[in-house]
Amino acid sequence: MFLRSTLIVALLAALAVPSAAQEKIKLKTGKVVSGRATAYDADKQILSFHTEDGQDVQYKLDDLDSRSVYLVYASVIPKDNGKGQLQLANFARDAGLFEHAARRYGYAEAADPSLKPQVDSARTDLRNRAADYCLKNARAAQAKGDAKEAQKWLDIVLQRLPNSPQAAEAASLVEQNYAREANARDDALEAEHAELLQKDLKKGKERYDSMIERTRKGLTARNESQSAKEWENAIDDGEVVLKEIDKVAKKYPDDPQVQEGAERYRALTTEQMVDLHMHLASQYTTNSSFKKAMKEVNEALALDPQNPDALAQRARIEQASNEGLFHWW
Amino acid sequence: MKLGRTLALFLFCSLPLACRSSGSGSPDMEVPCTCGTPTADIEGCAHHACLSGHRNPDNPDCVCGTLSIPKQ
Repeated sequence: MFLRSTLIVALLAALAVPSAAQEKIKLKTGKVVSGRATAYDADKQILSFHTEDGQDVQYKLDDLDSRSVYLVYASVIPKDNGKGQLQLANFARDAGLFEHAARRYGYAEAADPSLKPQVDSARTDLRNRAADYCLKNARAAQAKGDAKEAQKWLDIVLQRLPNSPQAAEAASLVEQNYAREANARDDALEAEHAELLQKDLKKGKERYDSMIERTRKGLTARNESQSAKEWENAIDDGEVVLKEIDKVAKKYPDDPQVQEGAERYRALTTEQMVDLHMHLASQYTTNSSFKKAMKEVNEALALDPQNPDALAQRARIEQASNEGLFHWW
Repeated sequence: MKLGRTLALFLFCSLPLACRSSGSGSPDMEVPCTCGTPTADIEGCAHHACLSGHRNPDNPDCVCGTLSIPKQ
């Protein structure tokens, strides 16, 4: 009886293993193939693949999507092969895999320090291309009317490459659009609650506007400490706004219109404060001040526990703290 | 009876393995795999498998980690 049970368990375990080992590659046509790689011929650049439906297929690297080509190269070039990692990094950069490229340049330099001049030159090119890519995405988002998305791309350029020509253009776009777009977010609320804003929320509204203005100044400031100071003051503004909103909500507990307006203002203010904590976290992360960065991300998550950007950033910071460095271009 | 119990125990024990790639439990595991998106191309993906240098088998656009290619 015991033997029978053991055999059944072993059989079930054996059945479970192949499904866990399934891998996916993507062809240039966009088709996804599942199965497992069985061999790679580096001279002929052919990947042999056993598909999940039992076929043995050979793919030339030319047939694969550039991401899958990168994956094949990454699978066969050891980390300690400096020149190989440099070539792989250049391939990743050309394929638009900027973060992977940055990581590979790091591997190349670590494996062979004599490659430093070549790596430095390639990194300069990487930064330039990455900044262009961010600006292109920002302009595309702006054309679609997605101000938040546009701002996200501009922030990356401003924070990572503050002295680049692309940062000057990003700063100019922020100067032109940020305050107008941020103020437009509460236009409808202002119209609906004009009386309340004049009477009970006057101070709150002033500090809200100050928070927006300080956020903009922080984004376009030419040095990091000035940016951080503006953002910290903006967060103080936000805290005052939230207290003022709470006061009004308590004063008119039975007025549904006031309660609804308070709720919407609270959401707007909280969203802005989350952005501010994330700006600070990003700045600290770039400078490898991981503890400070983590504190800011946790503050953001205290305000919005499910915020996807904050959750992602927290995971990245944790990883960077463990490794002692942050892979960025 | 004994066989039923053994099977139930096996299925219970294999649950964590089955749920490995869907991710749940620790907050970081809730971060979805964003490989293949413009943001991930620039910032990197924060999915737990990707951060630890492994490929997310559920996402064909994931290029973190490697393929397992047997050596010739």
